[in-house]
Amino acid sequence: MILALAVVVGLIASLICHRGGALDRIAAISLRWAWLVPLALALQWPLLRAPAGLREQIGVQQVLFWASHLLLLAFVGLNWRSNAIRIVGLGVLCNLIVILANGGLMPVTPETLVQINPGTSLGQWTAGAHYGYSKDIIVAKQNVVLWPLSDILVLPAPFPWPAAFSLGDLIIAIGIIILLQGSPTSLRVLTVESRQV
Amino acid sequence: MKALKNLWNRYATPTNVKIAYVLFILASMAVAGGAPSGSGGVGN
Repeated sequence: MILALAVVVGLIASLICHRGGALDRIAAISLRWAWLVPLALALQWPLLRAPAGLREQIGVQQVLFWASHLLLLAFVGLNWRSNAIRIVGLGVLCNLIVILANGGLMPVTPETLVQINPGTSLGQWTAGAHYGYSKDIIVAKQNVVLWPLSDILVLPAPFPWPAAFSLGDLIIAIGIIILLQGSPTSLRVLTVESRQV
Repeated sequence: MKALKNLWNRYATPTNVKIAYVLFILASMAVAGGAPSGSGGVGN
């Protein structure tokens, strides 16, 4: 959920940069087949609500999770004309690659979990277990495939919501922030509309 | 109910509804496309 902050940051940045025009710019953003995105999120919901346990216990949730990525990639493809959506798509792809390379869930190491869960120890995080209520699986660092793309970036305490995230997550956040500044396409729409008025 | 209807008529302009829609889609994209680990999860 930490990534939803990108929307807030993007909105604030847009209000600062464009002042009164920010909301018109956002309203002019055109997204095709946007309903695919909440549908993808709905497919992921069972995994996000699954408590910690063995990977075998969340087989169905994992299949739905993989299927949701087809919808996300379709959404990116249908909105390919937007540079910001291409950036978001790159982030989704980075995450998907490392997820597939590690058996279907995002790998996170016990060391990272100790960083974002102060007061815990390495021994509390069993390799191979699903990290509850997330898309992550706990993997020992030496066993992580494509480690640089996994959840290695950390926002530690005293940040109010300590979290670990991946390079793909960061790229998605950047894409969303850029998109909320209004694309050249949406600016052209605004120009045409203002001329008509 | 009448007050609610008044609020809706006042603030639910087509532009505001479109802004809310775009923000909802982007927030959904952030949650669905990303895979961060939050604190407070349980590992075993």
